[in-house]
Amino acid sequence: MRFKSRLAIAAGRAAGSLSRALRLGGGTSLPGAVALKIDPRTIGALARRLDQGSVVITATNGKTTTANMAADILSAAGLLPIHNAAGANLAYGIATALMQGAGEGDRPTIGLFEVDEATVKNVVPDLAPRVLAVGNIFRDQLDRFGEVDQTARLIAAGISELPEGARLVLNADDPRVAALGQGFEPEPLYFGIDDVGYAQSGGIGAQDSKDCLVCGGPLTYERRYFSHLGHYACPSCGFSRPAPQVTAIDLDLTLRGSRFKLVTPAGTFKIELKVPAIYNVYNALLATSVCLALGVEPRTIAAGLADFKPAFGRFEMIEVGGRRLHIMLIKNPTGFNQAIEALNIDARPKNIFFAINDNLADGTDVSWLWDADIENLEAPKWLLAGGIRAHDMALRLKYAGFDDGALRVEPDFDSALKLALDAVAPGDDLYILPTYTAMLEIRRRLQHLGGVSAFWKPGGLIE
Amino acid sequence: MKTLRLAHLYPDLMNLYGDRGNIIVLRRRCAWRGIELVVDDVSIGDDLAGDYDLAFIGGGQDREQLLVCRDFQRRLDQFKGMVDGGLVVLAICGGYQLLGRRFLTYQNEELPGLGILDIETVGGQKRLIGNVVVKVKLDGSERLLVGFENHSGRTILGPGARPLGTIERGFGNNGRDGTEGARQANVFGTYLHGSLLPKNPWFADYLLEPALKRKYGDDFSLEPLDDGLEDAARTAAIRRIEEIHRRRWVPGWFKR
Repeated sequence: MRFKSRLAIAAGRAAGSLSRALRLGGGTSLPGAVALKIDPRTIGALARRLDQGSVVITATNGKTTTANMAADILSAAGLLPIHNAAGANLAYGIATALMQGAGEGDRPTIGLFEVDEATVKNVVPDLAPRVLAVGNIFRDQLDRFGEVDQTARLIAAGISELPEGARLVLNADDPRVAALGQGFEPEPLYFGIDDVGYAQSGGIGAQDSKDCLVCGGPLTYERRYFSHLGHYACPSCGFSRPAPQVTAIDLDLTLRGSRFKLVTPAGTFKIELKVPAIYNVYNALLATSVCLALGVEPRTIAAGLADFKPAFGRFEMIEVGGRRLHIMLIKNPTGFNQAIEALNIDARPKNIFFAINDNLADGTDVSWLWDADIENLEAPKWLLAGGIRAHDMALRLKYAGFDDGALRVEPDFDSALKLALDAVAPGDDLYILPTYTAMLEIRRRLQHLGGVSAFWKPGGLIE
Repeated sequence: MKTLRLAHLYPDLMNLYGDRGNIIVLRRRCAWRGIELVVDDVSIGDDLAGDYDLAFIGGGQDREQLLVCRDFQRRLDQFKGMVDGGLVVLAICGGYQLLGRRFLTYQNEELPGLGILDIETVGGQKRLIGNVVVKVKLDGSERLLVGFENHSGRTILGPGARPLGTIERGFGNNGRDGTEGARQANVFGTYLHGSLLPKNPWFADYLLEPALKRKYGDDFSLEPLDDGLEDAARTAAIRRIEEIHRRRWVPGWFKR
């Protein structure tokens, strides 16, 4: 390794230690930020030392869950995944993960990175990944990317930088994602859902892709699972859902978990996931396809998925004084709609705490609250709007018709949590729907109450 | 029961950044006063049939804006007639640009506009993104609008249009002349998403009132609503915008 790279890594590590010692935070990004400042080629220098190369996973929704699923499977396959922490999915975070992961243990290493959609094109030349996987493209933090089309263009730019022979793993059910595979060699590995029972019919909100990406004509859907994901075709030019090699059939979804059959070229396997909702089936399919592309045995994949536990804030359940707190991260209209759909599975009157922040990592534009179908929420009993943009959330609830005396507004996290814990009786459930940094704030406070384990994990500080 | 009819133009193509929140707000604020707001979606291939009092068009991506522009040509004379008759129009971002004379893309490609507002838009390379506070002076009283902008087009007003307001924070029409939005008779264009109307309920009422007066006579006036939550939300947003403005030198990796 070049002297400059070594210097950069040493300086980055020192900065990380100092920041941790001073309890300043920034531990998942700071070391990488410092190293990249000194040597912009740090990522490439470290990635070349990975025994099994690396994998890049990108999507609007589900990056963290998918990467965690893949990490569990790859660990079960005897590898040591070098893996960036949740949310630290920009170049700084990837560099930090590589710096912390190098030289640990004696298992062969593989880089497994969840990468922000706009960052893919910047890190692919350095990482030279063996597999690039794209899960979905929804409206997300459009304040950063401009427009949904732009997100697809940014990912396409990353794909064009892939080294010879690299595999693409794509969601066949997302037309915007499937279109990325047109003309790519070797043939991409497509995955999708082939279930009849969970298909929805018409009139679905937060749809971000209605036109054929090839000719601009309207797409028709034979089946739709949620938003614009489903079985589609364009009557004008013939563009249609590619036949997937990896599929899920016979879905059985509850609030406690998901069961389905995983069909792969190497056989069919029963899968039980500890996370609910159809989008987690897509996450599992993506993780599975990535591992198949890497040559992992389907049996190992099934075992890895069965052991998978949700990452913090993704359908995590925490007990505080006998109350069950369910944390469901929301980041965009589609995620919000899915959370509401999952909440509606519980038919009892519900206590719900919405916590909306507008920091950089949440997206600084809160317009998306108006694109979510909050009106669909069933049986709310007690509602609390919190976070920096508590008032925006409260307004959204008011105009959805939920302001009949049951709506409280409290931007301060300490006061909001106190209100919530006072309002919810022991034995009852509280649903918390936070944006990313609001989730970190809430977890930090719950940790003091003893409900949450510490944020320190081997491999670094989670926040 | 009093009724208003609103044409929601191209809701399937022109709806970025929560623009449909504006429709939700108009409908609720009418309902709270016992007025029914009938909303018709009018998209490609649909007729603009009906006696409309209001029209709304949201923002869209360039590709969709082009499709809409093409489809609009066949109803342009009809729509201009409705505007001359006092139709109240609210157009946001891409919809605002579309109502102008023309749009020059960054590559100097010219797209004709609808010519309803005397404005021209030129594509820029850097997107203008962020929170916006606008000072608006209508009917003599000075009020604020808050919202969020996200556009690459730079809009310049011709002599026929007046700016909707002046920029306190943010970029506005072009980031140079300190103006935001445009107004010509009852046609209002602005770059503000947010959604615009929820946190600016006075402006929602300001749009509803002329539509109601036209239909039910000049004596008609809107009964006031309890806008405590709306006003608190606007105040909180302005406080947040000032806080972000003060911290704009903090590096990105530290903010997350």
